[in-house]
Amino acid sequence: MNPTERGQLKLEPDLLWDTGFKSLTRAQVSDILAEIYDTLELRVGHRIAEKLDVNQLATFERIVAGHDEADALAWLRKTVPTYQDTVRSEYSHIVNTLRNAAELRKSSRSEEAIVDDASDRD
Amino acid sequence: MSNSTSQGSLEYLNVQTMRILEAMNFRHNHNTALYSDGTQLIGIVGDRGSGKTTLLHSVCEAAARQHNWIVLPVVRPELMPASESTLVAMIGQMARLTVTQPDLFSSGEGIAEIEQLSHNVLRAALYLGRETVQDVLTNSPSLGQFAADSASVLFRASTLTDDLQSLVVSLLRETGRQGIIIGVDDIDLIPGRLSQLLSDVRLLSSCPGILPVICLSWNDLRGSLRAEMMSLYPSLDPASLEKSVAQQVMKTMRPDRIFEPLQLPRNQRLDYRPIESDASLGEVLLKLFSLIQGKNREPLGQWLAQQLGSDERRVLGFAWLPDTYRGLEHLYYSASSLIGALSGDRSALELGQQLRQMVGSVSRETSGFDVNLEIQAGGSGGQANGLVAVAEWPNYSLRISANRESKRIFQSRGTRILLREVARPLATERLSVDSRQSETRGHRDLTMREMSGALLVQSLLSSSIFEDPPPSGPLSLVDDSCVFLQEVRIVGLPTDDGFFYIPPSSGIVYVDRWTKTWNWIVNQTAKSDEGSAPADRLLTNICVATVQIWSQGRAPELVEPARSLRTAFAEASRLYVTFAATLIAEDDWQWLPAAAYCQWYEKLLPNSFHDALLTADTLQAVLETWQAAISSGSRADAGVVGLRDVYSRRMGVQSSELKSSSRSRAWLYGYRALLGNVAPDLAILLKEFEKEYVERGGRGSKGRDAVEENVLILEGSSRYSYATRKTVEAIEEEQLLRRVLAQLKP
Repeated sequence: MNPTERGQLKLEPDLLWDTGFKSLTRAQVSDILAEIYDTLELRVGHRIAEKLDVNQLATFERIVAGHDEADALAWLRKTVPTYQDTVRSEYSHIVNTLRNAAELRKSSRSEEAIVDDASDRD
Repeated sequence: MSNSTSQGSLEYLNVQTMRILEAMNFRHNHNTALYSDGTQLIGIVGDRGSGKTTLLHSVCEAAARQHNWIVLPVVRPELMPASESTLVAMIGQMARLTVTQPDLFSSGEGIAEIEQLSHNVLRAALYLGRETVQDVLTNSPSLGQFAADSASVLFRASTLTDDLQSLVVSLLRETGRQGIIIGVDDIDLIPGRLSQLLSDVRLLSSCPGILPVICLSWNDLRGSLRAEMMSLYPSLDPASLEKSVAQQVMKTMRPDRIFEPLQLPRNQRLDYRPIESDASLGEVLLKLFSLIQGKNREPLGQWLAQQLGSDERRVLGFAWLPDTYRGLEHLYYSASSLIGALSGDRSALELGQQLRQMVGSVSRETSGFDVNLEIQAGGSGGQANGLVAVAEWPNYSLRISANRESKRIFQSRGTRILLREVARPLATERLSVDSRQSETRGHRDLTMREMSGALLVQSLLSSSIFEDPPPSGPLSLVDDSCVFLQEVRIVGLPTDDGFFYIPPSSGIVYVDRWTKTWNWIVNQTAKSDEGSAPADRLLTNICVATVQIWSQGRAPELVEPARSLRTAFAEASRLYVTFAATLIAEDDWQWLPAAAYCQWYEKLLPNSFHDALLTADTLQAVLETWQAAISSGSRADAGVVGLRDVYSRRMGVQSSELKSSSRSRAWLYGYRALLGNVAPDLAILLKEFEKEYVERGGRGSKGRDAVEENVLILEGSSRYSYATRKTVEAIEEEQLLRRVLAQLKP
């Protein structure tokens, strides 16, 4: 998935189509995209937390509690300058995992069909 | 002939008359038959009251005056005795032309020949009319007798044709005219004689020089032919029956010789006025609606005035107008009579009768549905001549359809708001209940006309004509109607109901306003500049639109967004206090807009008082203002009690149920400020979700800001082909996705 001109990655229904999940309703697509977003958030947060020491964690908690997004982002850029790469790599990881899962499911169904077909002929 | 016309309809009448004359003259000028087999026929088709008879007479008059035709008096089969043959009647008129229209014959030469031919033709027609081959078959005692008698019938038929041709040639020669027009009106009104009528018309049309012009309604023609054939051939299967009917119709009428009376376009129907009337239909209706709207009732007069003054004629606003001239005429005179009854010294029951006719004029024209209206004189409430009524409606219900794409209003810190615009209202009829099985037999979607007509009737019945409570109708938009228009996630959790509402609405005025209000809110909020507190902006727009569009009826394009939520909320609160002071406990929102507004303010508006939606300062200020307004006046208890009921249901009443609820209900914790003020016992139950809520709310998820800056959720898709329902495959895919994502979560 290519980022937008502003560097943003897109979570959109075409993502699910491209990874092989093509049977969903509109509501299911919407729910799953939100679920992917939540998962990405948690994974990125975990990776960032691994790079912070105790004092830095406490500082970040205070900034977030103040509900100031701009401050929080400025602090992240300064303290964890590679955080955007973290977001991209986790995004790719999730997408690739989903694609692999879809392909495995598809191939296992093909094998079942072959086995069933063979057993019919026995 | 109808006296109903107007400037516009006269023009259409003249246009269509000239078109028909052109078609008639084309045949003559180019010496070609209208049919390839030599027959000729003009058909004027349309619904009852659409102006067929008027057009027929217009064509006849124009033909006689301008285009050098002999025009016989129009034949109306439904007025003829059953024993009288239409063929004889039509030929008889031709035969008596020398007597009935002597001015046609400038010289006396040939009159004697014509009279002799007339005598022969009339006798042959009389003789032929006594018996058909079918009759002979029925009455003949033997095959040999049938052969002889039927041959005689057929011989007389061919004799008639020859004599008729000779008569026509002589008439046209002596008069110098180009043809003979025979008008036949409402040919389809008499089942049982229809086939014979069509056969008679075809016989005449096969004679060069005779041009029948017949009027009929397609649906009635098919229905009558169907009935006739079913009685003649009872064993015929339905498919064959329909085929035979279609063939009969096709045999009689060629498509390029069929004309319809031109109806007034929808946007001109309010300009309609009967001949010698000063006021237009729009003016009469405006006067009536203004008379009956009454204090605090649905502002029908104001609504119609806005429609008349606008170039945009919205479909919902005018779909109920009749299509036919007769329908417009009936509506005009019904409305005029009702105005007379309201203005004069009429008894209450007479007034009720006039209203019933007015309701019938609307309901019959839009769909034929019937509102069973029981009216009796009241006398309570200090009104000596008051009317009390109960209305029994078909089993209707109202909902809305939405545009497919959502607009992203807000997405930040795990909270997301997506809203969809309303496409239009939709109404459904639940079909008749099987009394044995107590089950409905399915649903039928109403057309826009039917829905619009029903909404208008509902508005008429909720007018000031009736004592309180007036009869109510089934078509309403309530909070359940719009839940699917919004999707809200709070602290990353899916929520199970709605947060943003506008007042419940019924009747044509407020249902129309409901859709305009909602769409203004969605579009205004979606196009606003991104900045802090977009949910505050949404609530601001809800307050502005509800007050100005929904309550005051302002046109959406004239409404400006407010500068601050405090200003907008203060205005909404002032209006609530004003309305609350006018209400009593028995007042219902279905017929009192003030009650609908108060219900919204008390029970629906607080759904947006959530600390993940509004900033802390805003939430506090809003709660203070809201609580002050609720506490004013006599509705204080009713307001709070009503709200407690709402949140009891929302949360599940039993605390044990709340404990065992899935953690996905943690978002309820955001209502602690609201419930702390109105229902502290409910607020205590929210403690169960504090940890989860706070954790998700921002202190725990370190990835939130990073991901929000770099990742965008988009709803639209250029390639995804959505399934219309959840199949087994879809369920399996969803389960797989959720399993994988669950494993990926740290």
